This record gives sequence, C-alpha cells and structure tokens, in this order.
Amino acid sequence: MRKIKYAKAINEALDKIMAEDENVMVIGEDVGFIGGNFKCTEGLLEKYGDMRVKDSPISEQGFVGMGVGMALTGLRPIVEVMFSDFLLVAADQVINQMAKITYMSGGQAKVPMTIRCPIGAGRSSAAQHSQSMQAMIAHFPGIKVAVPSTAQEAAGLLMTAVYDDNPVVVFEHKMEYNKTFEVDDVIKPIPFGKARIAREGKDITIAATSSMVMKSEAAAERLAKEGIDCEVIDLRTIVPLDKDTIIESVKKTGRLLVVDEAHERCGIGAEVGAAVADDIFYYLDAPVGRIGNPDVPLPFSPALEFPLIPSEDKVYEKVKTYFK
Amino acid sequence: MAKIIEMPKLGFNMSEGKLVQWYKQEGDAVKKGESLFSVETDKTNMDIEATEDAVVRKLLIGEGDSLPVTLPIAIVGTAEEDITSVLKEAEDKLGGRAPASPAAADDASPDESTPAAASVSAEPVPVTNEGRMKISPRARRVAKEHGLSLEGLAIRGTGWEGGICEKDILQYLEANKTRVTPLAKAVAAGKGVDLANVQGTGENGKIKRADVEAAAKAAAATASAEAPAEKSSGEVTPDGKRIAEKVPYEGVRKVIGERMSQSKFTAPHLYFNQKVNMEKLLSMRKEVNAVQDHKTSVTDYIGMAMVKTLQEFPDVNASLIGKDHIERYASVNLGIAVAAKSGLIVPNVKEAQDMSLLEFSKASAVLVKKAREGRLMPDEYAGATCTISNLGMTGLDNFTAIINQPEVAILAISATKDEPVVVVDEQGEKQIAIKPIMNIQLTVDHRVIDGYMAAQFVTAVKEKLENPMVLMV
Repeated sequence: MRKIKYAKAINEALDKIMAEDENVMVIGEDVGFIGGNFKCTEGLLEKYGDMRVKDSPISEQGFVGMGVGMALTGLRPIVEVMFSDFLLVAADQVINQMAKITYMSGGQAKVPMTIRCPIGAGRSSAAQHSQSMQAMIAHFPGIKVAVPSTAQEAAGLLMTAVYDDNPVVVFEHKMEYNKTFEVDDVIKPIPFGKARIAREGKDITIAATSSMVMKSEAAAERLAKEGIDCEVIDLRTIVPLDKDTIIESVKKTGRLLVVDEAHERCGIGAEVGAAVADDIFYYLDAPVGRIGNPDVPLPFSPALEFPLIPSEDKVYEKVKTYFK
Repeated sequence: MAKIIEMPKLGFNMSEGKLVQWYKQEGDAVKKGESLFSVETDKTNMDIEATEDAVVRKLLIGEGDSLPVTLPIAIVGTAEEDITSVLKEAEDKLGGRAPASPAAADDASPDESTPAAASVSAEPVPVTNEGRMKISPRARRVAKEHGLSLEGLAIRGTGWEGGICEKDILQYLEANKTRVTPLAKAVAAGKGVDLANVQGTGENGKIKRADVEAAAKAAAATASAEAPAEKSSGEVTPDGKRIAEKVPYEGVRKVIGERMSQSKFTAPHLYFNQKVNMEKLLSMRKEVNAVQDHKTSVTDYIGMAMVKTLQEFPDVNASLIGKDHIERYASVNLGIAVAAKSGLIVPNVKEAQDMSLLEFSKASAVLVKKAREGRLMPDEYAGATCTISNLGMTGLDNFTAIINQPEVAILAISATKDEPVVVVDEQGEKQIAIKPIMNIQLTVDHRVIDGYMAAQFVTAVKEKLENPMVLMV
C-alpha cells in the first residue's frame, strides 16, 4: 500500500495505458502544455509527444466530435471535458453520435472512446460548473457510466473504460483530485457492473456513488457508535448497474438509502430504487430513501452552496429517521 | 419523575379489574417490556408490561384486590425521588378504597412530580388514519413465514413512522416462544417442570403458575400411573371415596363457574324446542361454498338467522340492568360459544345487524380461530347482546344452555340427522320422507321474556333456516 493523490492515481493510470497501447490518445482543453486543469495529464505530453497528447481549442462540440471520429478509425481516444457541465455543449456528439453509431451501423462500427470529466459542487464554481451529469448521461442507451469513489477506484475504472469497445463516460469528482488516498502498489482494472461493499452492516443499505461513498462511510462510523450498523455500497458504475449486490444487501438489512450528488428529481436515487423494487418489496422494512442535490441550480456563494450539497451530516440525519 | 400506575381498562365494558399478581415488589426495578402485574378481567388474565424503565416505589393494592378501572394501583419513579405529593394524589383518588400507608417519605418539600396517565397499557397496534395496519412488507412476510396471524395482533411498532417492522415481529415471536410469567418460571424451577412441555393458557399462550402446576400434576399422575401400587395408597375422603387427584378451582374455570351459577340462580330459565328441516339450507350452503373462496359453516347460517330474528324481536336483544331497567340494543353483537383449550369462551361478532352472510361468516371465522388459539382480546369477548352455542359436531340430539348474563336468551344448536318426517306432497297427500333434521332450543330469562314471545322467536328462527334465501338478502 502507498498513499497518493486522486489526480496522481488517474495520471498514473493514463501513463500506464498509453505505454501499453499506442492507439490510446489524450485530447482536451489544456491537457498538454498545462498538464490538465486538475493536473491529471501532467508529464504525458513530454513522454508521448504531441501526436498522442493534443491540446484542443475551446470547442467541446469540435474536439468531442474529433474523438468520435478517431474511435471510428480504431484509435482509443480519451477525451477530457473540463467540467461535466460542458457535456451539454457537446451534447449532439455525445448523445446523438457517440452513443448511437454502433446501433445505427448494425454493429459494424465501434466507438471505443472514453470521456473523462469532473462533477460536483464545493468550489464556488457556480451553477454552470458545479453540476453532476451522471444521471442525465445514464438516461441515454449506448453509453456506459462510471462514477468512481476513491483514487484506486478512479484509476481502476478508467483502465477498464479505455479498453471497453463501447463509449464510456467516467465522472471524476473535482473535490477529490487533491485529496490523498491509500492505494495498492499496483492498481488493477476494475470490472464494470460489479459494485463494491465499502462497509458491511446489517441495519440499512446505503448505495452511493463517487464522493458520496466516502461521506456515507464517515456517517456510518458515527452511526455505528449509536448502534446503527450501516452497509455502504459503492455502486462504481450506473450503467451497467449491479442490481444483485443491492438486492442481496437489502434482503439482509430491509432498508435502502441511495446517495448521489446529482439533482434528486429523475436522479440516481429514483432509478436505483425503482430498478430493484420488484426484488426487494417484501424485504423492505421502510420506504426507499434518497439523498441528492435539491432541485435548484447551485449558487456561487459558499454560504448558500454548502447547505445544498449532500453531506456526511445529511446522510447521518436521514439514516436516523429510519431508527426513531 | 414519579408516575401513578392505574388499573388498566382492557375492554370497552371493563369497569373493574382484579389484581391477580404483582411481579415486582416495592423497591424492585422494572425494565421496559417486563411484566409488572397481572389483571383478571371478566374472562381472562392479562399480564401488563411496563412501558419504560422505572423503580416500583409503592404498591397501593394487594394481590386479590379488585378496583374500578383508572384508579391508582402503584407508583413508579426513580429509586431516590420523593413521592410524597404523588402518593397523596393517589390516595385522594382511591378515597380509602385500599390500604395506603404513608410511605417512608422524608420531610423535604414536595417535588415537581406530576401524575401521568396510565403509563402501562395493552400494546396498541399502529394504524394509518384510514385504519390500515402500519406494517412493513418485510414484517408482513416474516410474520407469514412464522405462521403468525396479524389479525388483532397486539404489538407495538418501532419502525418507519411507528409502524411494525421485522424486528418487532421477531421480538414478539421470541417473547411468545416460551412466554412465561416470572412466578410460573420460579414455580417451574422449584417443581422441576420443563417449560417447553407446558401449554400456556394466558394471553397469547403465556404460561402461568396454574399451567405449571397442572403440568406438574399431570406428570405426577403419569408417574403414579406407571407405578399403580402407589396410587391405591392415595388420600381418602371422610366418606370413603379414594381421591385420584385434586385440581385447583381457579382462573378461567372459576370464572366460568361463577358466571354460570350466577346466571342460573338469578335468572329463571325457560326452554323452547323446535325441529328444523335443514334440506334447503344445506344445499344452499353447498352452492355458496362452490362459487367463492370463503367456506361458510352451518353455524354461520344459524347465526345469521339469529341476527335477523333479533332485529324483529328487540325484546330479546336486550339486558336487564340492575333491578330497575331493561336496555334494548341497536347493536346486534352475536356471541358464539367456543370450546377453547382453557374452557368455554364466547367471542362475539359486533354490529352484525349490518352484515351480509359472508361478512358475518368471515368475522366469525377470525374470532373462532383466535378463541381456539387463546388469542382473543378482551373487547372481542365482551359486549355480546345474545349468544348461540352449537354442539352439533358432537352428534347429540338436544341440549339445554345456560344464558350468558346479562343477556336474556341463548340458542342451543344440536346435530343435524336424517329422520323420518311427515311431508305433504303436491297432491296434498301425507307422506313419510327422510329429511335432515336439526333440533334447536332457545333458553330465555323469564324475568324479561314471556313464553309466548320465546315460542314465536324460536319459530321465526326455524322459518328462516327452512327458507334460507331470506338470510342472503
């Protein structure tokens, strides 16, 4: 085991993949000379040259579309979109092209492309740079969606994403990049569609994504002192969703709380709750709960921003309502 | 904070309760959920559990004392606090009904203790505003897997918004596995009786002292049967009869005995027989049971005939109250005598006048099942306005029933048997035919009902049973 920053783990993963496969390219705003807005691509330009590490103009529609074209020719492009909010600028390329081409060509063309982009609030980035787009992207068939939690998860899921022949969007969390995590000496690819039980418990299942996994674990620590034993599941990927792990857990605990940072309305909580409802109905001791961002745009002011973000306290309080 | 424990009101009609046993003495700590005392209602004993942790500070009445409901019976609080003011309030309420010696209180000024409403009660089942039981799907499934009927389950909810969750069901099952009063446990230990082999007769099958003693006696009887030489050396009565065993006259047996003798000795009983041709009813029942899932019993049809006839004869759906007035009831609450393990018990179908035959049958089935399992709540056997007793299954031809006071009538139902009867055929010729015939006998209280009305009543019941379509409309 060793300790590294989340951004460094991603950087190492990119380096490893680029060294392994010369078809892998990195493209995006500031990924070359600057080394990435969040320092994930540092040193790659120097090591692999400007044919494989491309700084792009400020034109998401253009460089995401370029990535789709590269992928169709057999390359494995990794496209960095600086904020997940900007996926909307490239929405036609992401949703209408990247996600559809394999289907519309009857499977003749593959799009083995990965988009990396950060989600999450907490940096006073205001309403257009703080959103979490995982629920929206997961809505469209044809795209796999990964929402890693820790540094090890971010690196391991990224490796799997790059070698997947389908388009994948990996949602990293911007508040984690600069945090230090313990990781394995050699990080291995993590298969999609297999959730991780981050903490075992018997009283309530908390299914979480991204940063919410760590916040839920912290809440679970506090709750354990009060005799409430939480099982925390790191969903890892929304598409594909590991329903079996959730179902098995809820059969044990009888309660399910879904925690995801995207807006609550039409969000991951609603989806996960409904997806497993048929299988867990007779095992439920309480209604399925969810925590997400309230349904308002995220404000710039920290005083207004922080109370909205799903937090350790919110998870703690919500779980307590189950055990009054 | 010291609190007054009151004599609980465990049924609509319960006015007085008899304290059977204190499980805790003064100075004992009692934990939430532990049995604090046992109360005898008009037909059964119920253990009352503490609803919070406390120390028993003062017992205001003794075992065997009877007291009207809601009057103080004990004071609980913390071990140290001053209970002078609470004690005074309790004594004022009692007004000298029970010996209440002053507690060893010091002269400190009265504290802020406020008396609470009864802090013990039978567990209320949580329900929604619409009256639906609040129980999670998981709890419902677990109950079903354990064969636990949710009908009338007295269980507290600790789950989502006070509903019943899995934990509540499991705790209930655990507590009822070998539910036993502390005294019974002690007696069992003393006599070396294995509680697993004892059939409880208390609420929800709880094992009581009497059950343990009966089991010990049965074991002794078995042992002595195996050694017949010893049996002959048993006790002999003064007039020379050899005694096989002595059984205590107590509990449900004694309650039944007292109520029946009170009825028979105060109410002049009068009896009226009728023979009922059951041919049409039996074939109708077969048809009814063929077209829907719920199986109706013959008793249901007789019960329905009683319900309809009682509405035609309001004098019979009545009670003599004290010595000065007769109450006639708008409610027809029909009692159905059931032979339970512990003895006779009579649950009643409430407000049956508004029910269809199927509704009556379903309500009755639930009650009879609970009665047999010893799970009736006091409200379910209190408040009948008239009763039927069916011993037809034993094959007997006729029998006489004693009125279940304060009702004024009871219908005894005997077996249906094929008998030769004279019938008039279409040509007006008399013929002998074989028909299924059932004897019914109405007992009335002559203080309230005269013979002519009783004869009309029992004939009206007969006519309904012979033209059973009237029971369906």
